[in-house]
Amino acid sequence: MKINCFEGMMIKKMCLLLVVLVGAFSFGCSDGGSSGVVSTPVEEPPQESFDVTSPVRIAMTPTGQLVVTEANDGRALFLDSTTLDVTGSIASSKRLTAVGATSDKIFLGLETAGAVGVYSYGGELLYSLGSGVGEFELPNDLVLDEANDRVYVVDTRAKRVKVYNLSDGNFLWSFGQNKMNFPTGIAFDQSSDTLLISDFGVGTEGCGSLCFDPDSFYAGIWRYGLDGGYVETLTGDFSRPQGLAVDDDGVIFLVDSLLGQILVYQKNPGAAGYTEIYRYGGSDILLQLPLDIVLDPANKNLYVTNNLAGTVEVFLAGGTLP
Amino acid sequence: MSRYLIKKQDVLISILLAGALLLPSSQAYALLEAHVLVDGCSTCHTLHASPGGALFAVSSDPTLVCLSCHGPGGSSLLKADIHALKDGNIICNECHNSHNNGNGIDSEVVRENIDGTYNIKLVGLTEDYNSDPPATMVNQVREEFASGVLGVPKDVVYNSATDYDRADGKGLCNACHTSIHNTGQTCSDCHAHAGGFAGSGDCRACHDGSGIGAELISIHSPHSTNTIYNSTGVTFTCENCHTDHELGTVQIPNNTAVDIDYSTSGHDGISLGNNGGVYGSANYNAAGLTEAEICWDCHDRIDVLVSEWETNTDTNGGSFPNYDFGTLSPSNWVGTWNGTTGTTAVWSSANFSFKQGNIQSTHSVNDVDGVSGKDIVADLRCSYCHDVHDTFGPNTGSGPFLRGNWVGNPYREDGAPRNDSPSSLPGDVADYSAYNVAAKFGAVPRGGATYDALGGYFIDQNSGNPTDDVLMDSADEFAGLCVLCHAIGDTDGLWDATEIDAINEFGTPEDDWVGDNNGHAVVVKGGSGANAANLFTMSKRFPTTTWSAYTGDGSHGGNPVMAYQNAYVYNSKRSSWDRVWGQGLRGTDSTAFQYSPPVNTAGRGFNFDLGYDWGATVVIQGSGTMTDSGTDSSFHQFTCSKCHNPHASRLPRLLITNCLDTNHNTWDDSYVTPASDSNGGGDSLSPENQSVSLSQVTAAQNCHRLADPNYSQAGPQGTAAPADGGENGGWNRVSPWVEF
Repeated sequence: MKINCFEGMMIKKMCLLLVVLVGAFSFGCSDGGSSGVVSTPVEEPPQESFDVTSPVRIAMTPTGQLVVTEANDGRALFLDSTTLDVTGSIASSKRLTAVGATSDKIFLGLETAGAVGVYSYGGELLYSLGSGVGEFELPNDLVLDEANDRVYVVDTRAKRVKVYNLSDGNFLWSFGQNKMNFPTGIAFDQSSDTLLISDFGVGTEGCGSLCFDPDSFYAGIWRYGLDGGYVETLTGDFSRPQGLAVDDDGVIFLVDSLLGQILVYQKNPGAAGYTEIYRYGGSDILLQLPLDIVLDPANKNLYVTNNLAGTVEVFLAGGTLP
Repeated sequence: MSRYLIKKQDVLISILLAGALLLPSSQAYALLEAHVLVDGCSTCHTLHASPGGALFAVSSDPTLVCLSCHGPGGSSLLKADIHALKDGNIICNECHNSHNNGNGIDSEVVRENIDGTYNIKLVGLTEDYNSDPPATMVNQVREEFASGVLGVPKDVVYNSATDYDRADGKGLCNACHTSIHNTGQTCSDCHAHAGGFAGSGDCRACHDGSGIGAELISIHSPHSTNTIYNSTGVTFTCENCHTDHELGTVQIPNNTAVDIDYSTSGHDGISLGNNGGVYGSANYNAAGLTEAEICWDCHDRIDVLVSEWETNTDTNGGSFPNYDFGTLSPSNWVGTWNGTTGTTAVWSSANFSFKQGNIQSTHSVNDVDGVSGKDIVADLRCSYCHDVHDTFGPNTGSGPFLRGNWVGNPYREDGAPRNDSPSSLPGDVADYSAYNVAAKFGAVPRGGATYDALGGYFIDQNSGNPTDDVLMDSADEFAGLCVLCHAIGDTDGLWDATEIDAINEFGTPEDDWVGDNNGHAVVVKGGSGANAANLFTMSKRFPTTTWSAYTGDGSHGGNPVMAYQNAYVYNSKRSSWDRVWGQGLRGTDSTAFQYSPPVNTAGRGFNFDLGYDWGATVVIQGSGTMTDSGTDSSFHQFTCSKCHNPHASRLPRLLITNCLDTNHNTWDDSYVTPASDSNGGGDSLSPENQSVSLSQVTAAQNCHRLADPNYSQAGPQGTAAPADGGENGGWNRVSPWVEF
């Protein structure tokens, strides 16, 4: 493993950040299962190993394992959160997007099938959300609310979030239509029992300091209640917001795929709005098309899918504020 | 949309002003409509927190702008990824104009390609920023090399998804790739843009039988992971035999007869061979210069039981003995090779030492070879018989993975009865002690249908009639594979009698078969039986002496025909044929000739009556007359494997038997009749039975034996003697078993 020290960051005064590069550029072997169809996973050929090559979304299981979806290999990879070694996989169709994990189920967004499949940890397809294939135009991200037996799925092309029963996949309702533009990532904010949804274009007003055309759409973050009620819109100096993570205090960690940065926002104490307090990535160009982020609540590590680099990056204690 | 129109003029002015900072020309770029519908120019420019502000800076990575929407997680359904090379990448702007197609529809710019049409999908550039200053291009794409050296700009015509690879070389992929396969088809069906055109990195991602021209290669196919080598810890990949995209060193040409036909996909055949491989290395990486050598790289190894030699236990249903095909040294048919020819391998029988010798014929399965004998290695087509990837059938998932049915030889090995000492193989010493003096014809190799010791012939009658078994009771069951190439005029993939009768690959029936007719008709089960010949006529069996029925009660008169079937005398009073004492050549009675090995005829009145049980008819008993019999049509009901080895053989024409070749007998070397003799009954030996070994006497049960030339006076059974313009017997003219 190669370990580099991050330089020139304010956070470095508080703690040393270590970036661990993992994965390799070699392609894993796909078993070429049925294309674009939610189906029983194809049996894995023996003696094949897999590497992270095109990571999209990332989630953490209740036991602390990481689950990463692969865009090109059609696999969801299990990673050891300490070593980032691949410990297992689930094979599915060609392109995967969203991912979520309970203690006994893995939720996978199947881009080419327009579906979200629910699998056992052994890779057996248990059921699909809604009608299965074609339920979604582009299932991009999802979040699980086990306490309320709900799954929230961001359908980017349908411009809304769709809600299902977690236990049986039955459709409940959707929200965001006629408001959302290109929603991408979603995260649960426990501090306020709300959902945060990143969007490439949240509106035409109130754009940030670098906005050129005040009449064009600008990127932002929606906040909705768990019942689908609109709460507020957050904006900032980001362009292509993707995955989000939120800590127990409501601090938002937002990945911008174009900027190649993780933007950290903290609510203004006693006032409205959020302030950007830190950024990871940037001029070091360590992040190339990062797409998703997950925060380990136990140790505050941040794990980021660095898609174009074909790696999963870890920012040790990155979730600890300066 | 309306918002964009209202502000159109302002936007264009802004772009023009900003464009002056970056672009060498003052060209105004309108947008592809799909981008207009997103957020107009702001789709890519004037991004909130864009690194460059109003327009992204020169130092910005435009590829990230594209991939932020067209990559994973992005908002577009049209997914793309950069095209990776061994060194570096081809990014979006090297194939795509960022703004419009120049078709005059969505912009004022008109930019025709070399054909005078317009490219879609923003394909083709008008300015090449690989040059400094930027070069002007006309809807072209510059060729890229893995080494980073830039090639020349290439005209690109991209009117539809099938224009990746065009026959005229103007396809988008043709800018860098020579057209090698699937020309005119949609390359991205297998090489998705979403995957950087990489084709998923696994052959099986395309070869999944999904109907895009790539046959299904499942993980359960042989030669993937389900091989005998897997049990030894070796796992094969496709690259062990193939190199991708017809870049291999060997090609298996298309052959529609065996369902190898990739012509509709632009392939002339199957590409094999691995340029980087090393033959004979433990890596099994397909380094052979020919198809056969690639196969032998693994199947030359008897030690792991994947060779074709030694006992074949796979193909005759298990109810009959498994034929041992012997050994070949070296086992790859031709010994040391140089890619084309090689020294001849020496074959050794599992049962008979005397058979050892160089192979004489190989099975190329290739019409290129127009003559019989040994074929050059480059012409050998293993894949025309062996369906190594289970794409044709009727494979059941186990070896030898053939393109049709084949039953291995269910008969034991034919071999001349020998008396070699010391012996090393089971058949070297003929042991007929089980057939003692009291048994019908005593201790001789083939005194009856129960005689099945090694040394002698094995036909249906002493082998349990294998082709009565339901698993092999038709030619389609025991040789369905062979119909693909050997059934002349076949239209239905099934054998019929006419096709079996006509089986002939080389030569002519007149030249090759004793009797001048194609013997397959009367030998192979399913043949019509046409042109069957009587092997036992007087003219053939007794060229110098007239045989007749025996005379007198107790007399030995009448020279014995095969198995003494003429040992009768006509009782004119009862108008019937009575059996006679006929003590024979080996009887122990004083009236017999008493030659060894003896047959105890004391007290037995009808010594040979009812003793013959092979079923062939030698004489016909008329009303007081005994004449030649008719023909016993279809007396044999053999499989193809009874006579032929499908790979390589010690004999010509892939024969594995020259049944009844008595000139290699040694068991009877000490059993030679005297030059003249008479018995206690006053009978004299006929000339044919004088000074001959017992296998040559007229009573020997040797239907169509190939006579021993040492005993030329013995009338060869089956044909006329050479003195009469005939032959020395046998049944074919291509395979005398002489020392090569």
